[in-house]
Order: sequence, then C-alpha cells, then structure tokens
Amino acid sequence: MENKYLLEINHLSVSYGTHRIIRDVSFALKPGEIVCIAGESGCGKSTLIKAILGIKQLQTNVVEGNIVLDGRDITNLGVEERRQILGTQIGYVPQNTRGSFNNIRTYDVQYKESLRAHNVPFEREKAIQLFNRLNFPDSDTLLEQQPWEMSGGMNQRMAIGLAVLQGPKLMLCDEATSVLDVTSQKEVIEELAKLRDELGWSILFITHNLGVASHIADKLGVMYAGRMVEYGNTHELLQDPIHPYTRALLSAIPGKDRKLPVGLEGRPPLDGAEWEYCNFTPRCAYCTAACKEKTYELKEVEPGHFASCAEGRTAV
Amino acid sequence: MKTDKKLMSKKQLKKAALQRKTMILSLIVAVLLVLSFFAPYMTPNDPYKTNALMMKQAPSAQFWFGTDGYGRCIFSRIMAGARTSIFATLALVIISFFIGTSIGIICGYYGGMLDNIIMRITDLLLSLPQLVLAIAIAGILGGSLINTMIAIGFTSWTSYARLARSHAMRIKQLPYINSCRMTGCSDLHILIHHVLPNLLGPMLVNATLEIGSTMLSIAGLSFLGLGVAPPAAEWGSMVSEGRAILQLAPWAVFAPALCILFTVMLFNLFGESVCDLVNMTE
Amino acid sequence: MSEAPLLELKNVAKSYGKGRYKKDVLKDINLTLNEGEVLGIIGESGCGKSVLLNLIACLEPVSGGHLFFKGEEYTGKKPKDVCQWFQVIFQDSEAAFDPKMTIRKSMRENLSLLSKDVSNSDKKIDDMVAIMGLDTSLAERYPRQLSGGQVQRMSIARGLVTEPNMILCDEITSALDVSAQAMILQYLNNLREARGLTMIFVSHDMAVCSTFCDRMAIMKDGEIVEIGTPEQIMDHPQHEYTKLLLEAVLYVK
Repeated sequence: MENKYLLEINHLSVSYGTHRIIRDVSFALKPGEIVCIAGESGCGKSTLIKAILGIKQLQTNVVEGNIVLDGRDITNLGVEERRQILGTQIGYVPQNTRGSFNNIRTYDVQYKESLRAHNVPFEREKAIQLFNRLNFPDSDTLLEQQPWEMSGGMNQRMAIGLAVLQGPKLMLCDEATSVLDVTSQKEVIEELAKLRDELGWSILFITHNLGVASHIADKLGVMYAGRMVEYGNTHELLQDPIHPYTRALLSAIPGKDRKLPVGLEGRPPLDGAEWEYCNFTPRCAYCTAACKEKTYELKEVEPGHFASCAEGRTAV
Repeated sequence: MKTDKKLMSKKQLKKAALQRKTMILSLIVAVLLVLSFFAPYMTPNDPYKTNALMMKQAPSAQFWFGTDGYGRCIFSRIMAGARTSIFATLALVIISFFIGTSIGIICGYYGGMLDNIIMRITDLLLSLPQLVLAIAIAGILGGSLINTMIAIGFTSWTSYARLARSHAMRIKQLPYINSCRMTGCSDLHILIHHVLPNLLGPMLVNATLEIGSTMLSIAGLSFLGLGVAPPAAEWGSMVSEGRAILQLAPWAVFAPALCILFTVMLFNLFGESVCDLVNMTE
Repeated sequence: MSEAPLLELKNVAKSYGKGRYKKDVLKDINLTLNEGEVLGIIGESGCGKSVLLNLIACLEPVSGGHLFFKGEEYTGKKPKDVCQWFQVIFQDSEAAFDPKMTIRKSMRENLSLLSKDVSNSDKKIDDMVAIMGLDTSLAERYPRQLSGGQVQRMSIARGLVTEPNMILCDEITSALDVSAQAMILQYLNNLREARGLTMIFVSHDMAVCSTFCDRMAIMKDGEIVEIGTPEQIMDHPQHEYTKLLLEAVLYVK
C-alpha cells in the first residue's frame, strides 16, 4: 500500500515521568524528503527523536498522540516488535560521534556484528561501494581502522555508513554534526543530502543550527519550549518567517552582512509544555494582552506554512 | 509504552530512604561511641578482679557473659575493652587519613619526581602482605597498643594517598584551577581552598569504609599477642586468651568475637551507606 | 609618538614531549595587538588556539620565542606576575568556578587577591553583574544552579571585575545557544564601546568573529596562515585554508 507520508507525528505529547517535555507536536515526512526540526536547548527536539525510537531505557513516555511509520502505528510497540523495526526500518545517527562504536575494535568487525543482529549479510564490497558513493576518503582501508585512530568526523561518517547499510526507510539524526569541525560538518551534511538525492532517502534531522537546516532540509520545523511554533517549506520559512520566535532566532544568527547579531534576553520556561497559551510571551517583542488569552494552536497561515502566532509580521 | 508516572519521584524516594538509613546508622554509631567512652566507668563488676572460685562460669545473673579462665567478668572486660578497641581504631584511621590525604594531594598536584618517588614507596609497601609486615614491625618494637597502631599505620596511609592523588590530578585539570592561578595566589592557597574541599567527600567515604578493616587488623595483632599487654582488656586479646578454654567456656571466646563482628559490621554498613549517599548526590 | 602595541608575540613556539614523541603544537607565531582592539583567532580543533592563550597568560611556559607587554618582555614569567594584565575566560564556564563556592564568593576572592582596594568589592561585583544584564541575586547562587548563558556571563563579569588590561576569551560562545551567544556578543560590544576593552576572541566560528572582531587571524596546525580585517578575510581570502573554512560556513540561505 502506497502511503503518502513515511512518518506522521500526530498531536504528540511526551513526558519523562510526570514532567511533560513536548506537547501537541504534529508534522509529517514524505518519502525522499529531509525534514529538519530546529530549536534551542530545552525545546524538546531530542525528546522527539527518543520518543520515535521508543527504547525503554530512554524513559520517554508518550502521553498523547501517536507516531505512524509507513502506515503502522509504532507508538506502543512491545520490546520484540520494536527491536525488529529499529535498524531495519529506522536508522539512527547520534550526536556523540564516539558513542556508536567500541573504540578499540576495527570497524569491519563492528559492522558485521550490527548487521548480523538485523539479519543483513555484511558484504565488504558493498560497504566500500557505499563509501565511494558518499565520498569518504580512503574508502578501501577504512574498514580495517579502529575508531580511536579516526577523527570525530570520520567516526560520524562510519556511523552513517553503518546505518545506511542496514537499509532503513527512515534515518534519524540527532544533532549529528554539532560536535564536528566546520569542514567535517559541511562534508557530513553534503553526504546526507546525497543520500536523499541519489538514494531517495528520508531523513529526520534535529539541530540547533539553522544554517545546517537551510542547506539540506526540504521542510523545517521550529520548536520552542516543547511546542512547534512554525513549520513549512525551508526556503519560504527562512525568507519570510511568521512566528516572532523564528524572527528573533534569525536575527541572532551572524549573517553575511557581518552586522552584530541581536540577542534574545531570558530563557525558555522549563514547564513551557504546560502553558495553555503561548509560552514565548515573556520574551516576545510583539506580545499583546490578548496573547495570554489565546490557547496555543498551530494554524496554516499560508499554504503549506504553519505558525502558532502571526503577530507583528510585516506585510511584504 | 508503559506509563510509569512515578518515575521521577521514585528516584527521590530512593534518595530519601537512603538518607533515612544513613541517619539511623549514624545515630547508632554515635550511641556506640558515647557508650564505649563511658563504658569503663559503668561496668557491673571489676574487669580486672580475678576470682579463683568463679573461673569459667557460664553466663548468669551476676556475670552476664560469664567469666574467663581467671574468674574475671567477661561482660565488664568487654565494656572496658570497648573504649580501647574502638578509639584506637578511630585514632589510627584519623591519623592515616591526614597523613595519606596530605601526601596524596601534594603528589597529585605537583607530579614530577616527588610523585614518582612516593608512589614507588607505596608500591613497595603494598607489595608486602600488610599483616605480616605489621607483625614484623610490632615484633621489633615490642607489644603495646601504640606499637600496634604504628605497625598498621605504616601501610594504612597508602590507600588514602592514592585516592587523594587521583582526585587531585583530576581537579588540577579543571578550568577553575587555572582561573585561580590567574589571580596570582600561591599554590598553597589553591591546595587548601580549592583542591581540598572538592575531594574531601570521597576521602571521608574512604575513611568510613576503612574503619572496619582497621579494627580487624588491630584485633588480629592483639590476638597474636602483639597488642595490649595483659591484664588490660581488649577484644582481640580476649579472644586469644579464651582459645585455651574454648571447650570448657566457649562464651569466653564468643562474647568478644561477636562484639568485634557486630561492631565491624556496623561500621561497614555505615560506610557503605555514606558512600551510596555521596554517590547519589553527585 | 607611536605607542608600543599592548601585546606582541615574536616567534612563539610550543611543543610537548621529547625525542620521538615530540609534538609541535605551535610553530613560529607572530602577532601584535593594540589597545582597544579585538583580535579573533579562528581555527579548527587541534590547531593550537587554546594553547596560545595559555602561553600568553603564562599558564604554560613557551618552548621558544618572546612575549611582550607594552613593549617589555615577559617571557618565562608566572601567572602571578601577569594576572593584573590578563584575565582568561574559559569555554566551560561552569567548570571555571569552584563548585563549592557561590559566584559572589569566587568574585570576592578574585578581587581580594588582585585589587589593592577591596573596600567596595560587593558594589563592584553588583555593578559588573548588572552590566552583563543579569540580576544581582544570581550571584548568590552556585555555578550549577545557573544556565549556560548566565554562568558564562558571570565568568566574563568575574574576568572584568578586576579591571585587567585585556581579556582572553577561549571559545566562550561555542557551547551556547544562538540567542545566548548573541547576548554575550552584544554585552562585550557594549563594553568595548564604553571602556575600550582589548580582547582576544578565540573561536571556530568565522561568522561570529566577522561580526565582532577588528581583525581575524586564521590558524592551522600551529601556524597563523592569514591575518586581516573581516572584509579582507571574508571577501578576499588569500590562503587556501581560509577559503576552505569560508566555504564551510553555513549561512542561513
């Protein structure tokens, strides 16, 4: 059955224990698309990824809504069923570039082990072909190396390579480039874009760096304190953002004009997900008295461009 | 996904339970210390009074733990010996703590040749079996409580030194030490005000965990006859003296032995509880 | 009358280890910094930029070369000789405070050790905390009780409260959110305009440096490969590595 969307997040609320982190988040990812969820620390974007992975040790608790992968509801799977989809249907590249591998065992041994766990045969030639396709340097000798000898960037590439070889439908990248040097970051980003362009991959990418998002994402969602405040086509969203937080965020990023960026005083509320009304009001430049009366709602302000607030938007 | 609404509070509950446990154990330890300090003044009978007519008597209303081979009240001797055993242990632990921690901090912070030399000395000391070395030293110095403490103290400072050294080495790398150096203060100021307070926690935990084993070492040496001279009461030597009449008057051995057992167990439990609590808070 | 530059580095080099294991972290660094100037040092991890700051502040000894402050050589001195001139602001600001002391206590210690006048330390602390846009009550807290942005601003306040000649900032915004980073840049800029603050700003982020620094120096493998104004570096890069770094900057399109 052909599904329009590969991944659907419907009105998802996730908590750790009793503490609600994200609330009423909805978006969808089409096959062959890169969707980026961006936001600052504490906005809940990592929790989103953890909820999709749904591993018990991560202790995420879905209190509302559901997660649908290729037509199948995966919100409340049992341990065995979840193990079957992780790796084969969902690939994962974590932030910690040294976390995916045992530092002192060669890559080929670790590749073999992981692939075998998912009943995928390890073929050396296939792996090397993939490395070549993704422009990894020295691809013939990579598999014999040990992680401690390689840089963070190379480790991350090998983690991506391993995820790709398992052939999942969806790749989850949790701040996969944050700890890398700028040059490595650019290369890894380009490799991810290549995965989409040449191999038709679907990627959900979490980042705090809007520059990264602007380079590869088809769709961009901005989160603030547990809520999705804006979502839409990356180019449109960044050219003409609707939500005051997105506008503030963009002003805070150093640009080509070399002007001093404008900061945003204060910090996001820790219990932002519990607020019924807009939780950006304490820091918002366009906040009116009415803002505290309106309940939060993500509305389609323009075709394909959603925002929870359109205050102070300058008409072009 | 299982809804486990109590997850956050579970951790807090665990911590609260641990705090309660540590409090209770601390209280028991405190009571024990106070009792053992005043014990020699509260004995029901004279611990040193021999009585040829009442030798090897079973526990009775007059002699709660019976009498030993010389007719002395075992219960009174245990109470008299409590102060000796427990306070000698504590004194030794405290002295080792100070010496070991100071040496360890200096080695860890400065490194270099001094660190090398001292660490090789500790390696040497630890390569010899501790009790055998203690026996040899006590044998040379002669039997007395002070000499026993010196004999054990000869090697007991090393565990503190090693621990303090590794912590000092870790702390030295932290940015706030560099910040302090940029205020132009002396090394001594940094060691006392910034290094020491930050490693005191784990060091105190180590000390509480050492109390039990130190007590056993002292009792062990006394058992071998290298500790207090008779007729002074001390639990280890009481066990040794009672051995000869084990079949006739087993209480002469069991009473002091069980006291050692329970006291060591108490201190071990206390130490572990403190350790768990400190680990949980960090 | 031309003034000697505030800081000058001549042929500064630093290596670790001996013989077969010798590693040259810095090779032949030459730099000058004038009063009131903000110099950015940009490079990727491992290029030696943090080590360079340690050498300038005498936290580590140089292996070769000379350091000059206001024309006078100070190579081989100890931190206590130069602590009135330089203060270092570290990247991990929470770890830059003693976890057992409140922020105010840490700052008071700095003032008492570095200033001759300790009569109104609390007022000086309050003023500086306010300049950094923070509530003075936050100074009563412990470092772990503050957010990343707040503790970094406190770290800067502590560096400035003793009124050094210049501050050496080691990747102070790298671990922060974009909005917190922008706030810090704003406050530092205010200080620069109000007090003529001299600064070395080490970062891996070219875009940030280009908005803030008077001059930028690009470092690679222990050497300065190019140095110039933001216009020169960003619009007309000369060195291959500079061009590589520039291409890797991901501006929001």
